[in-house]
Amino acid sequence: MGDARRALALVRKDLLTERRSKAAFNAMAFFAAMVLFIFSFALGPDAPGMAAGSGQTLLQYLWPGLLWVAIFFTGILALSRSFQVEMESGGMEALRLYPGDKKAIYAGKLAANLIILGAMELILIPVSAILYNIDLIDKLPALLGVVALGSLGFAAVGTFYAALTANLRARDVMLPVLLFPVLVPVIVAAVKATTLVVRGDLMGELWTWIRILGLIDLVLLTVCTLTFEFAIEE
Amino acid sequence: MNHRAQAAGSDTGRRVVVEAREVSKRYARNWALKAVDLRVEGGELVSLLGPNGSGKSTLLRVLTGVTRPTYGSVELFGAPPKTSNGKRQHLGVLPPQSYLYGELTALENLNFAAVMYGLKSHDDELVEALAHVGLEQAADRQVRTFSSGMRKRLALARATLHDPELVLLDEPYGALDVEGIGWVDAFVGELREAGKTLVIATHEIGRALALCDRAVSLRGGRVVYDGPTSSYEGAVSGATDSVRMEAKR
Repeated sequence: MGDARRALALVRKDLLTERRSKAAFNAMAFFAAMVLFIFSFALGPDAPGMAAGSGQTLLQYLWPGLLWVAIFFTGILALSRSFQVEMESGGMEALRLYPGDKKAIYAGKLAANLIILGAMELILIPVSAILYNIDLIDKLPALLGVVALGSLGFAAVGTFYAALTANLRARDVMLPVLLFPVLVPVIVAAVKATTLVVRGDLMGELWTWIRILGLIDLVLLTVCTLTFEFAIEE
Repeated sequence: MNHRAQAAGSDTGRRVVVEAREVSKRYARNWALKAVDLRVEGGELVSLLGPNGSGKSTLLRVLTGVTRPTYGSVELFGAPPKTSNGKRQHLGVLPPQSYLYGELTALENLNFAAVMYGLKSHDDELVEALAHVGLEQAADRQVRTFSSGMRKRLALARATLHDPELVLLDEPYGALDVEGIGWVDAFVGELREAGKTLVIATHEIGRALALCDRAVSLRGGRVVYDGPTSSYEGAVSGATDSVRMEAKR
């Protein structure tokens, strides 16, 4: 119970800090908008899609992948910021000094990162759908489910690596370098599942990919939770 | 002359709160601590003295378990810091930097610390803690607007919020004006009267000697004096020469 209160206090503290400084969210929103606009300009709004006769433009065809590019790259900013706040105030050492299970710190940081990432996604998905002229109304529940699972895997391993690299001088470079190889299974499963949701699941593969994504999340969450204490040790 | 033996072997029958045995700590190629022994009993007021880089802060960090020693062992309330997680409840630390969250108010910072210490404090109790350090008027101000003196007061309030048995103060006089220094002296006096065990790392030798019962002096990561503050001045000058000779070797 005490550790749950500690995790909640950490979530509240991180969200309050972010609400007042807006350091991560503003950067994320700007970066996500840049990614969407650059791809839109580079590929052109009317370029024909890869599947002949589908009636899709190239942007619509590539949207699932582009969505995850935007989510992962902007998410890196949130992850990096979440422990930077602690390092700037020396709070990482203070967090280590408090009694209680250090897993509570991981749970709190993970939840705060997920909330910030989720808020960004709630803006990113409709804005990109409008920008690329994609009809998501019927697909929204399945799409949100897949995005939630993909974000959980990303934030689980991302929070762990953000803590691990927080003490490094080159942490902004090291975080994506270390993180993306580990994230490959999450990226593959999330992009594949999103593609099936958006383009239609003719072969009935969607549930298989959702199960794979859920299993990857479970493994990553377990490993990161059990080893987090070592990640924040000096 | 080895002054370490003067106090380390004393046995007053009081509870041993902190014990470091042959603790050495290396950062890259530099040894910050070299075979340091320190035993602090309940109710003692110990000052850690020494110039910059002598190892005072490193020793405090090792004692709290934030940093692991390269060699040697540390016990906090009779158990290694790693396994005495629950006993951290009895430990209060004032770090050299404030370790406060600038975007949060003073009250929010204390509230966060209270939850992390496992306390079920109400806001009025926290305001009372702020009033105790003279910050009740600034309870709802963001800490980033605070002066260094105010930060130090808030950090002290946080370090003692959970009524810890052992309080480690790292440079409590750092960045303070005369009024602030006097205030810290009074605060330390209160802790002493409350029977707390205190370890104070400071450059302010005169104040430390006046406040504490025992002085531990570090030079180049080694303990060069460990004994009563009353005999510190005369003893440490000779010890410094021998350490300089050793450092040259």
